Amino acid sequence: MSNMPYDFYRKGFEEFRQYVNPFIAERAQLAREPMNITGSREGKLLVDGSVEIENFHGTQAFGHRRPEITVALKEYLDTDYPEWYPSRVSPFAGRLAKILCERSGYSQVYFGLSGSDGIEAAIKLIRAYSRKPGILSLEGGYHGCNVGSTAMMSKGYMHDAFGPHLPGVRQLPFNDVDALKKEFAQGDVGGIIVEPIQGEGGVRALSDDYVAAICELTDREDCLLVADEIQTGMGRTGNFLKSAKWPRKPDVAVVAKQLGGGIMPVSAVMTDMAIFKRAYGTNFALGESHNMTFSYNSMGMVAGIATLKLLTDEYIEEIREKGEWFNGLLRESLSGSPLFEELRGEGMMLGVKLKNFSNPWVSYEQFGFKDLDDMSLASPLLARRMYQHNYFCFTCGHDWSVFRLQPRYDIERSKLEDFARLLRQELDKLDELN
Amino acid sequence: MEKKLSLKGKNCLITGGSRGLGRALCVDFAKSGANIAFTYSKHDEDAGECREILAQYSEPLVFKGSVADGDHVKDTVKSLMDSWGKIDVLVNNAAINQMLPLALLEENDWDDLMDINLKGCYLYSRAVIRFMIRQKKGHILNVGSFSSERFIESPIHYAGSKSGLRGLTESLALEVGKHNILVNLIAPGILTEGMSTIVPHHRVKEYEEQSAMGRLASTEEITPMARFLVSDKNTFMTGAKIVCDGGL
Repeated sequence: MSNMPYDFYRKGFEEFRQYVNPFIAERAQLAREPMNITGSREGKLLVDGSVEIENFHGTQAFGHRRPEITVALKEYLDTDYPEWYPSRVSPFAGRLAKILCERSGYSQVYFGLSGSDGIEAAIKLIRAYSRKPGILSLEGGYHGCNVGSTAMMSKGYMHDAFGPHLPGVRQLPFNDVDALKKEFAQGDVGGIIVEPIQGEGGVRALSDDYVAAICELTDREDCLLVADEIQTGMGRTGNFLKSAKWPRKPDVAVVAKQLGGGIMPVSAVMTDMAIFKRAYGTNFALGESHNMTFSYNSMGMVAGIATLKLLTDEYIEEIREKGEWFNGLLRESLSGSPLFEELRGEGMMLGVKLKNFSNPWVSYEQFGFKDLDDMSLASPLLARRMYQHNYFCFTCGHDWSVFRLQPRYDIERSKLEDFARLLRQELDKLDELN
Repeated sequence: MEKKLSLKGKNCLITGGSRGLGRALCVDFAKSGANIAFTYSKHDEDAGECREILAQYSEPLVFKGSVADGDHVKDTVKSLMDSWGKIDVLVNNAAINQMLPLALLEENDWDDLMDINLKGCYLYSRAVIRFMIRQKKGHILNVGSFSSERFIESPIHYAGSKSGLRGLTESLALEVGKHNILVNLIAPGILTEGMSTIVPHHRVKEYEEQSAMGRLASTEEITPMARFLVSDKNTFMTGAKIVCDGGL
């Protein structure tokens, strides 16, 4: 495998800092994130051409440059098939939609390029279907960064600066059935969008009672129940869709991230044809009123087809088993650590909730970032320490006390054992600061 | 009459010369007629680029290795003496910085930084100075930092190393002055390129707001002063620290 020339990535970093976003560059530098990334090998990233880094970001569920996906894309590029169909009637989109429907039990699919625009499509579907203004979301939710999804975002740095937000969007307290009932009683609710397990919100699962309530209330009020499965879907929790086991199948499910195999940006909004027809079926003009130029691009569809071929039921079962084993391993390794609070999640979507430091010398204010002082420092510091062991880890965006783990599905068990041991070791070192 | 402050024919060794201020010093000195040798520790591509630029003036001598590695230092100086026969100027520029508050500063971080920023200066000065003494002439310029001269927020190991350089400069100047060797320190502020780019955004903003000049300096605004300090025009200034920080 070729390695990117040093000159390109070093200058690329400077150019990114100068022309794209200096704050991202600053954060990466301060946190000492592995940045000299010059290539990839067997699913992992390569730093300086040889050091292998495990990337625990959910998007790369199949590892970096998974051969099954890259080969499919290369084969497509070796043909002269169109990359885009002017009529929008794409056979590649038809085929991917058919496979998705067979796997999920839905009967209609709309494609997008990202989770954000998948959610945007779901918002419009709710409005067009119900003709009601009310769209509910939950505290701690993250549904993307478009205007509609930002309105549903948990309050804070990703939400507050961008108001006034979409009218009718209301945020409810997490897992609070009484608040949910009260909201539905107003009679203007067209739908609710929830994550089965909140990713950025701290790897928090909806309670069974809450799931039962949203299934019942949306059914009774003829509202759309939308499962945002962008983080939880496509095998991540050991299910094709986490919401498939709910008492009532959600009316809509959105998947993205790993649908494109980590290579192509693709999202899919899955629903039933009857719902789609009620929302968009008045005439053919309305039928294509939600339309994005590149949402049926052939490369994305080819990547999606290759990904679904890879993601068999047997493979998902392996993910579930490995996730359960990893969960037990982590629990055993971390128990007794003074900074460890709890382990959350399911399958290979886990979160380690950490206690914050009580000693003021370990605070953002002490490090010169006074404006961040109400945020937890525990998980960012743990991630920083794990970088030194060649694990690229992340913190939940809405809850900086939760260290999130989404390893690639094929990661070796020996690697996970190494990771669990090192995590405890580094947690103990952090505790020495307290 | 020569208008420019010349370093014509001077043999100059600059540590950490492949990028940032080090590269700017190499280029400035080369443009002024000096023969340049520089060291670098990591990235061949940067060194290659610097070599290409310098070759427009005269082919530089390039050495790869850490300034904290005694063998590398000895070999470099020996090789230079074999090639040039004398070293007129040593610029101890090689340095690293890590933006670490005390809580996150670990022993190995401390050691790594001190080795490069302080021990490297000792090793190179010691290796070069015996030849300068025989020559009865020489200039050593240490690159410090405003962080040792001003009461500002700075990682303690970095500020400590740069303060150490100041002490080293003064003591060394005193020890070798009688041999006509002048030892000085130049302390730049935050620059627009090189190591300064890792300084957090809010600290750069504070710096710009609080300094008299209200901006960062380019490397080219530092090099003329450095050139003067190592030139024949400087015959009496030694043990000095020159702070170029835009008036903080």
